[in-house]
Amino acid sequence: MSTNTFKIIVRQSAGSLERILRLVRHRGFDVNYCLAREESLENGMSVTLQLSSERSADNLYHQLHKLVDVVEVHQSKPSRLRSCLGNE
Amino acid sequence: MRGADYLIKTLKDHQVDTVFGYPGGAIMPVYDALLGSGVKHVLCRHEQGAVFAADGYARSSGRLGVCIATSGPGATNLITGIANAQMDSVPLLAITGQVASNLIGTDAFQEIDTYGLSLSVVKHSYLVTRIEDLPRMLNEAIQLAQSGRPGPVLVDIAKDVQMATMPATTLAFCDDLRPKDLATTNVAMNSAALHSAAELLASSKQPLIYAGGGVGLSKASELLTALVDQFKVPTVTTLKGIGALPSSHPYNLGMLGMHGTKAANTAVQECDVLLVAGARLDDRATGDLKQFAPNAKVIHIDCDQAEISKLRLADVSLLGDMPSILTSLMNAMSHGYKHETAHQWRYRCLQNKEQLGFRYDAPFSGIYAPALLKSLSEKCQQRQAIVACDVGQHQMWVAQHMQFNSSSHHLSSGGLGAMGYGLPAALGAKFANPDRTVITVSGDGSIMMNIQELATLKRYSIAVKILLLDNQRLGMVRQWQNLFFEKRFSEVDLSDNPDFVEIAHAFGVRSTSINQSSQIDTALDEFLSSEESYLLHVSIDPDDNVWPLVPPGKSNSDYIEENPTESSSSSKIPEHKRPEEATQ
Repeated sequence: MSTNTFKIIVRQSAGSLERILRLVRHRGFDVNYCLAREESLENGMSVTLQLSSERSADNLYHQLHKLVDVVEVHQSKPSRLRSCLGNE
Repeated sequence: MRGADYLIKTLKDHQVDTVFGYPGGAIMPVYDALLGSGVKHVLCRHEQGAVFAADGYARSSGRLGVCIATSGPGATNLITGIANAQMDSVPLLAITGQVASNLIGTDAFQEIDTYGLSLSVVKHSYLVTRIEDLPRMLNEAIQLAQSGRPGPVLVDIAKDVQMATMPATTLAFCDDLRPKDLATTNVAMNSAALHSAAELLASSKQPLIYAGGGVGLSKASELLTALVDQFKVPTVTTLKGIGALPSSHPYNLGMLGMHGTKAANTAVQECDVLLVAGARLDDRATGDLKQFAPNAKVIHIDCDQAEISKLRLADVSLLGDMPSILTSLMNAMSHGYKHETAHQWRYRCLQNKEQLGFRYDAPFSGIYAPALLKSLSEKCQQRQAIVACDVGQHQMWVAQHMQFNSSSHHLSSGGLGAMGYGLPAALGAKFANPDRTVITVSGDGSIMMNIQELATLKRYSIAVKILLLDNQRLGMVRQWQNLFFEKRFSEVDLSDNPDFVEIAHAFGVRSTSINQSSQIDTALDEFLSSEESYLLHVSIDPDDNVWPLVPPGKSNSDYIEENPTESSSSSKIPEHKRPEEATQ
């Protein structure tokens, strides 16, 4: 079981958070932590997720990137988890 | 201009001239706008028929397929077809009506959360509750469905939005939107990766191409054929890749996977470099991944980064537009690739293809489906017919025994495996290709899932040929129960099927039935020469199975050719199918 943290910038629209969480669940990841808030970008939202799974997070990175509303995906190494969450 | 009028105008602006659908309460303004619009609406008899027809239209033409349904049950009936388009990357626009925006969330009549339902089966989806959003969302939807890796996009439009007047300022804005390119796959060519790919291929003694549906989708079939011709690389195809390289091409070893040819599966297991083009390495194609192509370095070409190294780590990844990559790769290969290096390998592949190929000399007097389909294929050679399949044994027999020169001529529900696809998909294909022969090959299980579309054939007087292989069983499920569930046959007996010839007649469709091999030639000639829809009912042996078969979870090397314990049918299985002979 490994833990990964993703920070996702998404175009805010009805259901964009739901779409991300559905994908994460379906691809076999548990959500340990989730924070969604407005971004300074116009119509943007940032979503920070701490996820755990037996599966590789590399595929998930690309699958998240493929979502139409997703603008950016940043994947933090497990060791950087604390500092990443600390900035929220 | 109302929102509904704007929708129809936008479809016309995007060269959509045919849509498939079924009206209902929440989509009535759109149906009102359709009248006199010049857009042809094909009334199917079930929303699932409409979405599969739009899918067949899109696959056979390369154009956007459009379907329309109302809220609630109309929308839920579309879901299977939308999922089908998602799994097979088909450009599809699904328009659904929704209850008025002030009623959304109140459990109103025929209200369902269509947007929520769509999330797991679409490339993207929109819920339009403000008229100001309609132009942006609609234009994005149309472009998204066709850009990059194609897929289905759903636009759920509240009824009050359909009836609202479009603000003039919004109309002006939407004109600026039209040329917007949402494609995300035009990434810069990675020259280092290209060089690595060419080097790998040049050093290979046993190279193999693995062509998937992405080749045809990206209109790269001619380039792939040119590459195979120039460098003489043996090629296998996936189910969706059939036709990407003409079936008759000498280096085409056929389909790989669970029901693949022995030559194709053997080549994949033995190759040292595997060039995967536009394929996602589906489990039905690869068998046990741990044992798949065990000696191969993998070069993977795809427009979707999420598919590269998803299941099998790619040694070299080439991300982007398939035609551009194949062109550049051919240029790179021309400097170092010598086909003489792989001479022995090529000889072995072609020898396997010749010696391990299918045989059709069944000794019994009944109809052997593979021989029938081979005969049909030969009679269709000049016509370049489009063949839409349903799902099951007959689908695999079509893939194994019919020849295709274009992937847009072989319509098959590959990823989702949706029974009921064939007839409406053929209907849609005929609307897109009115001058081409369109055939659906179906089974007695599958045909009943959308048989109501016979009425649509009759309504529009279009000629779709239906070849119905009737074994009075759910044949593929029966085959698996026979092989993997100790012959405990559960709910696969369809011996109480209706009289299909009478059914066809009741819909006003010509039909006849055959059950002897001596009838095949004449029956197929009549079937193909008919200028109207025609259902040819063919009784086949319930015990006939699809061979070879790689059991689920096994390596593609571990194919079996018949169930050794199948005593009831052993006398009917031709001698040539016995494993000891086939491996010689």
